[in-house]
Amino acid sequence: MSGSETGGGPDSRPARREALEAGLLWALALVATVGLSTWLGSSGGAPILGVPRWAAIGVFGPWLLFFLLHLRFCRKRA
Amino acid sequence: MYEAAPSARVAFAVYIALTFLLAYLARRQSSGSGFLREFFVGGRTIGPWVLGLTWIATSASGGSFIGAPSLGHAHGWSVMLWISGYIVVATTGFGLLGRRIAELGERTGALTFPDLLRDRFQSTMIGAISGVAMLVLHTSFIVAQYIAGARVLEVALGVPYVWGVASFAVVVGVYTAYGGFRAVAWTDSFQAVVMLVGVLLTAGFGLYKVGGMQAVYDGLAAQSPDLLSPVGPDEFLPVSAAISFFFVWPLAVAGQPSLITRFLACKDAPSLRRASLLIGCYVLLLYPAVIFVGILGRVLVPELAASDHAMPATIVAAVPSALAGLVLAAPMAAIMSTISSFLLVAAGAVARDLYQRNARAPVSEGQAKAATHLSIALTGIVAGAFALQPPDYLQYIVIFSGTGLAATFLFPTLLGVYWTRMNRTGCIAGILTGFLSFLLQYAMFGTRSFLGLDPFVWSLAASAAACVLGSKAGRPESRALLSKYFSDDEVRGLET
Repeated sequence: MSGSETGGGPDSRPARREALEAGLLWALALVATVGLSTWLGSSGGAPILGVPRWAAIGVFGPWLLFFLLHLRFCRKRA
Repeated sequence: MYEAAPSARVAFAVYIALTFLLAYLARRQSSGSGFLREFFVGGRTIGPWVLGLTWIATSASGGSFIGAPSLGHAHGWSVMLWISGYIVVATTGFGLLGRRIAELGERTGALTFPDLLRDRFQSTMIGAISGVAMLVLHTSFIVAQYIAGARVLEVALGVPYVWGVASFAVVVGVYTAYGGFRAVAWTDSFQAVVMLVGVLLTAGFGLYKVGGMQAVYDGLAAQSPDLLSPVGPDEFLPVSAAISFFFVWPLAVAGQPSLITRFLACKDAPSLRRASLLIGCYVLLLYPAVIFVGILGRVLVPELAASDHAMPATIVAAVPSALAGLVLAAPMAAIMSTISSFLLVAAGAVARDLYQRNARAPVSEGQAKAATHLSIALTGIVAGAFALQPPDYLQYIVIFSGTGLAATFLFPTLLGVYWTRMNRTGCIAGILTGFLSFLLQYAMFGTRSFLGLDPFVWSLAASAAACVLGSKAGRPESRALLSKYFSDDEVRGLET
């Protein structure tokens, strides 16, 4: 389980880098989802396939995008 | 009132029997690595599928299956924005701490979450404080799960509420005490599959019954256009609350001791990565569907006898009776898997962190076993007693205890495992500040603190600041201690 080691205990730097990337993805998802949903929610518009426009674009759009980024995040860690 | 067909009772009984069978089989697979190591971390042999499924089944609680759909029923599509922090829950849940905790668990032999903190800072006080905080907050989380379970039994099988609480306490307590972590992880995995299948079937049948997505949209619009807005009726989700919940879900999940414990049980690094992938897929399928069940339930069953009945009532109304028992097992699965994991953590807090590691004389395996089983029984009884007075909306207890745990432990843990300058003063300051500022804000402001944000957001910030300031003020940890947790390069960096 131990990561790359340079003597002593396990090197925390690779895991720390991953943690920072995870934090960055979280911040981007927050801005994208809340920003888009609030903006589209105030402007109205017709539903998309029975889903309110703000939810289709502002919630499900980022959900799919960040799911793909999560897959990439996991592959990179391999 | 809504009541399922008799076939539901049979399916339900089969589900409970299968759960016990799995617990039995799991116990037979015991690694024989000593009672405590086997009971609390499954001998550190848990692979990716079981790790991923037990992680998700623990995080998806009665709150997710009973509380969240009820909010969807009451507040419509705005609850989809409320839950949207789950977009990154797999990334933060595994990315922030997973790899590092798994490495340190193997290296230091930690069996419980307080073990990690206590050993990192060589402080019995930290072990005791975190044990007590975990016991209090986990017990309140278990209360919420008993309430949720009793609600399902009430609606589905007509079991009186009090008997529902009692039967939950007994059933889950027995299989948890019997099989420990491995049984909990195996039954969680089975329950995670039941949850997903149950929710997808309910959403599918419900959609068919209402007449499609446009009919759901029109049905909500006819009741109130506010049910279609991101803010929801009665200003349910202003922007400040939407931001707050984007902190709450991904960060509260990342900071849950019961989930961090799962990393201690992980077999190896590839298992962790595969489990994280699995969770990303699972969350994408599960959470939008869970909320959608509540939303379409508003069209299908507009009037509910109790606000937390939305999920079971929608199941009974939408799903053919032959399948209703199977589908009703989904919320039961979510509840049981969470209770079992939390009972295990609460028992660990008492038996390992408060008793064994503070005992003056060495504790024998028999004594440790007796203390563990007794703590499971006592936690179950205390939580059951509190559950006899349920609040209107279950989800609020879930959020309170879940965010309280993360506000208390997330930053002390993050900084403890990544920052060489973090010391015991910083850790104690971070834990106490997070816990007390959280309780104080709830007492003074309820769920909306300064700038309308959830108390969790400010408590996290306060805890982080206290960790840093406390570490600056306190004595640095010895090089010998740091060398167990960090590479020589990193420890040398302290001197520059």
